[in-house]
Formats: sequence, structure tokens, C-alpha cells
Amino acid sequence: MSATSSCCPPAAGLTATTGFRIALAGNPNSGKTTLFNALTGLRAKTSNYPGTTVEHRQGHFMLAGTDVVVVDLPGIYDVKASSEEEQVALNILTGERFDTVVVVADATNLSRSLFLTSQVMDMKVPVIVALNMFDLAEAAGIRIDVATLARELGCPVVPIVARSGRGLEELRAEIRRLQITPAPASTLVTCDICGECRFQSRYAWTDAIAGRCIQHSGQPIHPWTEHLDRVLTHPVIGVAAFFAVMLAVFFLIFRLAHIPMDLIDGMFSHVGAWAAGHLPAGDLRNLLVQGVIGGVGGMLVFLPQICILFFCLSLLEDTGYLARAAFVMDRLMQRFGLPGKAFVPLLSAHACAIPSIMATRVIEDKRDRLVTILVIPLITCSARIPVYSMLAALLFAHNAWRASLVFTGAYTLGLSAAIIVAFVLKRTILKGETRALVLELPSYKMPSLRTAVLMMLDRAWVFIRKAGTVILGISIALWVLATYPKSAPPAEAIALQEQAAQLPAGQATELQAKANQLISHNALAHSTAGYVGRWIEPALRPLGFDWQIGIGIVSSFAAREVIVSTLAVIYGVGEETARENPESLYDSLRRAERSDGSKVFTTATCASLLVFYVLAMQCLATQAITRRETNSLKWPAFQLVYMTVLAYSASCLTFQTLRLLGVA
Amino acid sequence: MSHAPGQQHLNELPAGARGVVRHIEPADDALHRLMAMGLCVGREVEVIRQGNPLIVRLLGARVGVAGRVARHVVIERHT
Repeated sequence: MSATSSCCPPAAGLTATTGFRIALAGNPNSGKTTLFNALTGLRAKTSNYPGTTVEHRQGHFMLAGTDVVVVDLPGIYDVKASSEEEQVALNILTGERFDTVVVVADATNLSRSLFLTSQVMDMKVPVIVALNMFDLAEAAGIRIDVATLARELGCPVVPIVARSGRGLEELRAEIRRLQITPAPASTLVTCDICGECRFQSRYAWTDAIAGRCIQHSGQPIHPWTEHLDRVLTHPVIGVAAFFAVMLAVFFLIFRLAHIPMDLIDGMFSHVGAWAAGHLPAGDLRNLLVQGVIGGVGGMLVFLPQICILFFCLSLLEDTGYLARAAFVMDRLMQRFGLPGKAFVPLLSAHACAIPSIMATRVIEDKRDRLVTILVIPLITCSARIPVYSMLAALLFAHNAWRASLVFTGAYTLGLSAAIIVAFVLKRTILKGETRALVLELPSYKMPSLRTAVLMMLDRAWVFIRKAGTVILGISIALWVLATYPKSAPPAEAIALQEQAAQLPAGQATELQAKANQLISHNALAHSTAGYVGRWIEPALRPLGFDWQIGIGIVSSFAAREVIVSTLAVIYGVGEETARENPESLYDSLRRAERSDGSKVFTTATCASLLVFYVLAMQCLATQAITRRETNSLKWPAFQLVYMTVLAYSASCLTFQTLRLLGVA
Repeated sequence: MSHAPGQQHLNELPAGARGVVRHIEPADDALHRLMAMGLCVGREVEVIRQGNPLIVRLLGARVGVAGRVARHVVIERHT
């Protein structure tokens, strides 16, 4: 019977409406995800398993006109839970009804794959063994007698190559066969209680079966892996190689991401300008243009970085390289109380905290993972660069060398703060020994583009769903804060407008622009955001900030880079001018004076503001992702509070020290 | 550190050495994972790279192991 004969409707009595459910189980690196993607493609969704932070993917595919639901279990070695992932896999397997469990076995390491296979069979569910990477096994001279294996196990065994799709038709046919005539649950008997160690007795059993089914020619299985690993796992060269690889990834992110980012930026300005031109003037128009279109654009602009980072990480993971990265960085990271697997997420945070927090899923221990998530936003992300540029220009106007020192200092401060906070957290509220490294270093192989693309789309969608909606809501709220209550335009602006009306059109533009800048400055100063700025001024004074900087901090609460455009409005430069010519903004900031005639942006204030923006949370999208990844409101709240306290204290210390030293 | 002559802890074996696991001292989840990967009493193991962490060959797979896990495993070396 062929699995492709889907022309006729399913026969009566068949499980057409109830849905046939299969689960995919297997070791990490067994190619389970590749098989899942090959079966389901885009018809899959990722969600947290209820009550945990372990991801759980579910998809479906059509088989002879019926819908088959596939659940991808976390990759595990053992069903006796020693990690949260194993616990979830066990809960799903025992708690949910499955018509079949497909165990994905690595044909190049049959004995170990059979260990898990036999454990699943012990659960008395019908099992199909998908013998993956059959091509690699053949190439390595491992000849597996599939028929004997099927007889020994008492279940269907299908050799497949998930990456190329070989054997998938046979696998579907096997699933179809079970759909029509449900197989009895497995009756395999392995001996788990005899002998003192359950691993020992079960492995003795798998060895016996493997011995009867395998003929091995004896040649080394993966010569390439051995050669490459001599270099890539070397304690010195391996670390250097790792930094070279990450440098290449960052080069790609910064080199490529700006193209779609500019495109998105440009597109949203166009849409905004179009809406501004076609809608009647008024609050609704402003809400749509500044709140909604601006908010959506401000959110989507993160997407290219997230996509490129996940695409690269997925490729690196798939080649087997990421395991080596975790291996070589483990010793160093353990000193700070974190596992080697935390390093790639921490490093990626230099691009953007959001994908990095999502990438912490590779960290097995819950506490290690939580600490990593909590400190990631301290690391300088690309959204801080415009803020640093502005402050570097204010601090050292015409000295590129010193300005670059500002950048280096800010990056170092962020990274050191992350390491110190991690160290402190591991010794206080998240006390516990860092999980010791036990990590399979899989054989190197060509990565699958399909897996990388699907991974990228999946992460992008999670970001849009979880962070996008929050950002949109907050950007509307911030628009309301900066718009209401409304105030009459200042007399000066009206005078300028009247003056402009007298002049011929060509000469009036400058006066008109000046009048508009005065109006928007006045509107912001008298809006709720302006009042909040004045209200928090006493608290900000020890940091060297006035109420206008206070408005900047309030308005950039959701996205830190917004402070640049807010300051542009406050100091009467105008958003457009500041974007096109940042120097004009820096100039007017340098000239800005307080009511008593003293300069606003003194060296001490600039340094204090820089320290504040290195350490403060000021990114709501990150908070939304922390909420999703920790599955709680407590941790994003903690993150916000500790970072704000840290930023406030450090800024205060900076300002007061500099003032005492006479650098005012 | 007392064990029979000819036996050494996994983290003390030189690279390239092979041996049979003779004893595993009770330890944490990380060691548990290593046992699920096939490291248990009576089974073969080979050290590919020594250091901390070290790399062992276990059932044809390569596994990176922290030194503080490896020191719980006693190996009888093949000569």
C-alpha cells in the first residue's frame, strides 16, 4: 500500500477527525528536528510546555487525506529526568495520548540510540524506529541489518536520511500502516532491575542487539571530525578560532542587517509621510503616524538582526561547531559561575539582547540559564550605539581617538557589569553549583539551509508575537504621554508664523521651520511626559540631569535609542534635522543652558548619562522576551528593578565623583 | 584517591589511553547524563584529549567532560 494514494477520502471508521498523533523522540543531535521539519515544513508552531520554559513544537502533515499531528519532544538521552527537558519529554510521553512514537536513532551510534529506544518501548506505546543518517553510517562502513534489528526489537525499523529526504516515503507508509491497523503496544522486555546499575544492564542489552545487527569494517567513523577537532578544541587555538568565527558572524550582522534595516526604516517613513499627506490633520493622524506606524517600524527594525543571528547560529549548531564553542569556553565561564554554553548568547548580545535571550535555551541548568538571561541586557547592544555616538561627540567633540575611548569604556563597563552581576547572583539569590560540562561533540556535517531558514522564521515570528504587540501598545501609550494635555502654541512661534506669512514662499521656510520647532518643544514640555520629567527632576539632580533629560529618559523607557530624537525635539532641533545632520543636534546640545546660565551638558553630566544608558534596562522588547523565556512576571520585574538601581547608583557615583574632582 | 593498582581516575589518564570503567563514585546530574550516554561500569572508554574539560570517546561518540565530573570515574587502563 502506498502512502501517496491520497486521492480517495478515508474509509469510514478511520481516525480521520480525531487526528492521528505521533511523537518524535530521540537523542540530541540525532537529526530529530531535521526530520520534524522535513515532515511538517511550515505547518508547525513553537510554544512553551505549560508551566515550564522548555519549548515544545507541534506540527502536522497530511497522510492519505488524513491529518497527522506531530509533537517534537526535547532531545534527551534518558527518560529518567535529570534535567527539565527530560522531565518535559517524560511528562508528554506519559501524559498525552500518542498513536505512535517515532524514535529517531542515529545509525552511526546504534548502541546508544537503542538505549533510549528501549526505554520508550518500556512505556508500552507502539514504536517505529527511524534509523537516521543511514548514509553516513554506510559511508563509514557500518552495515546495519535492518530486518534483523526490526525482528529483535519487535517493531518497524525504517532507514532514513532526514536531510535529503531519503526513506521518508517509507516512513510515512509505515505510519500509515499503523494508522489503519493499530499495532499492539511494544512487548519488548529489557532487564532494568537485575544488576546494580540500570545503565549497565540496559547497555549490555543494547550492545547484544547491536552486535547481532551490525557489521563494522573497523575504519574510523569520522576522520574529518578528528582532524578538525585537533584544532578547534585546542585550549588556545580553539578559543582563537571561536573568536574568528564569531567575528565573521558579527561582520555579517552589521554588514548585512543595515540594508533591510534602512529599507524598513525608509518604508515606514514613506508610509508615515503618505498617511500624513492623505489623512485630515488632527490627533488621529498623529496617533497613526507617530504612534502606530512609528511603533511598528521601530519594532520591525530589530527583525533583520534577529533573523541573521538565528540563521547563523542555526547553521553553526547544525555543523556541530557550537558544541565546540561551548567546550572551549567552558573553563573560563565556570570561573564566573556560568557554563560554557552561556558564552555564545552573551556574545550575541552585542548585536541585540532579544535573540540572545532566546538563544539561552541551550543552557541546561535552570539557574544558570536564568542568570544569563538576567545579565544579557547589560551588554552593549546595537541600539545603544546612537546614544553612545551622541555622548561621545558631546564629551570629545573633535578628538576621534578620545571619542573611541568613550565607546571602548562603555562596552567594557557593560561587559564587566554583566560578569560581576552574574557572579553575585550565583552566590546570592540563584545560589547553586554551575552545571558541569557533559556535552556530546557531534560529528561535523554540512548544515541544512532548510533547518536554518525555518529556525529563523520561527524565531522572527516569536519576536513579532511576543515583543511586537507590547512595543506597539507602549509606543501608543508614550505618544499619548507626549501629546496630552495639549497646549496653545507659544507667542514667539505665532509671531514667527505671522512674519513668515509676510515673506515670499522661498524665504519663509526657515522661519516656518523655526516656528514648528518651537511649537513641538512647547507641546512636549507641557505634555504629561513634560510633567513627569519635572516631577522626577529632584530624583535626577544628583545624577546631574535636569527635567528635560528626564523627559528623554521617560520617553526612551521602551526603546533606549529614542532619547536621541526626544532630545532633538526638546532642544529645538527637530527630529528630521537631527536625523539628517546629527552635528546640528550635538551643537545645540553643547550650547544648551539652564535657566541660571550654566551649561546643561557638562562633562560630568555627559559621563553620568553615558553610564546610565550603559546600565539601564530601557528596552521593553527585551522585557517582553524575558517574560516569555522565564515564563514569569517576577524575573522581568527583577531585571528592571536591579538594572535601574544599578544605573542610578553608578550614574550618581560618576557625577558626584567628577564634580568633586572639579570636572564640571 | 585510594584505588587498586593499575586504576586511575578518568581525568588523570593521558590522551590516547583506553580502559574499562571499574567504579563510579556517586555524584550529581552531570555524571548521570554521562552514564546515560554509555559510561558505566564494565564499559570501554578512550581519552581523546586530556585537560579540563577533556574529551572521551564513548560508544563511538565524542563527549566533552568537565574535570570535576571525570574525577569521579575510576578506569582500569588497557596496557
